[in-house]
Amino acid sequence: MKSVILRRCTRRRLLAVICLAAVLIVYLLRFTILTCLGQWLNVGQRLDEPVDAVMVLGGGALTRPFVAVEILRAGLARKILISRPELSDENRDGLIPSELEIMRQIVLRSGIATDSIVLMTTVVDSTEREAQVAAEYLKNHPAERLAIVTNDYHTRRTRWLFKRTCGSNFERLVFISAPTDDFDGSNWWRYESGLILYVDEYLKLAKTLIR
Amino acid sequence: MPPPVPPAATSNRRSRWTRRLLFAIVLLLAVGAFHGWLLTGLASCLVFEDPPAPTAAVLLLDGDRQFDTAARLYREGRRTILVYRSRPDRLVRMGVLPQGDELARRELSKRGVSNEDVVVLAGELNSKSVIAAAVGNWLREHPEQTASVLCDRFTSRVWKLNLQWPADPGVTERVRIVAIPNRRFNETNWWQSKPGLLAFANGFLRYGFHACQMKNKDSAFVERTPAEFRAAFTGDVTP
Repeated sequence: MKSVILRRCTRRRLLAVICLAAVLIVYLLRFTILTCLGQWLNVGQRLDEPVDAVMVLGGGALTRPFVAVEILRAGLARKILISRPELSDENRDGLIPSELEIMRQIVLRSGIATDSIVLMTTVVDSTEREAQVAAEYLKNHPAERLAIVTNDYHTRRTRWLFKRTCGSNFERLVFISAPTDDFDGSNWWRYESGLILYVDEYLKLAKTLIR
Repeated sequence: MPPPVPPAATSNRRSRWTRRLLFAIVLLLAVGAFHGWLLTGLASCLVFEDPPAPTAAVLLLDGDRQFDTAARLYREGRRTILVYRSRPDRLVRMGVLPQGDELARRELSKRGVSNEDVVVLAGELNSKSVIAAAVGNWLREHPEQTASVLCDRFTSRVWKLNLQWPADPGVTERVRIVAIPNRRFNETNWWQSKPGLLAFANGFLRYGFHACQMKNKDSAFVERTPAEFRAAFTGDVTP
């Protein structure tokens, strides 16, 4: 009986030491781990060949439309498709313009011609819904290739959702990572908004995997 | 060859696992039965609110329908509305969006607040800790003033944390936090909507971030350049 208790105590002590060692290793390598986690989310591609249109996903008006504008300026696309996110309470209260209008204004003020701008008609409230809109677009324009512009941390989930939704038409998509002001995959945890965006992205990724 | 385990030890182990299983089931049932109470309690950790008291000024930080609340407090006798100015981002510089303090002036004016009673805190304030420091400075310069601070309900404890850090106790006592509820959710039902879930999760992340970062300097602000926007699709990292 004594030896059984002794063996159990030794096993518990060993387990505690292993746990402590694991915690210590994680702590010492925390910056490397956090950087890996941040950079794993980014699966953006280069745009080596021209595409027919650039689709700007909603939610990142501060940088996404500017990347789309640069793609048009470089002659790598002919038109910009702007997605139509649902109105926020602030939009309904008349405090700020809708995101669609903000993106349209950015593109227009950047010197892009009106006839190069296509405002999507379907209201979207999630990336999944945007994937459905893109799938519909690809079905109706069978000869076109699309570049999807979204923020770097959002590209992996976007890619998964678009792959699931667009089926064989997925081959006609290229995913472009727009940089985020202030932070990127290597320092996101140092900024309040970076921490929130990256952790939320992992939570949403988990939800995408489960569904 | 190990000695055979006596039957009594096997039966002890089995009964111990039965007890553990029963405990887990009871715990799960209790969590299920009291989930509303538990979730409300968790969200309450994010909320900090001072008891209502008359103050001379109102400080606008964030929160749903903050301009309506500020205008109501103004009508009830507060004579100064404090707002802050952030560093203008590229959308403000392009003229696509108004500057935050200009928007506040416009909306407060629509609600009957005199433009002369709106005061902009000094400096370009880009983070909660910097805003809190500016509030502390303003209160020190106006020793007769007290301020109601309007902020989002699920961010109110984060603001409390920031406001009490740089200020001396004499200043902290003159700040009253008014936690504004969101029109879509509150502590008792946040888990029933997507915005509520996000506000809850982000509230804890914010609190954790500020609790850890309190003594550190704010990280530098980096604005991306057109060259970096081009590099996003060319892969050319040289500016």
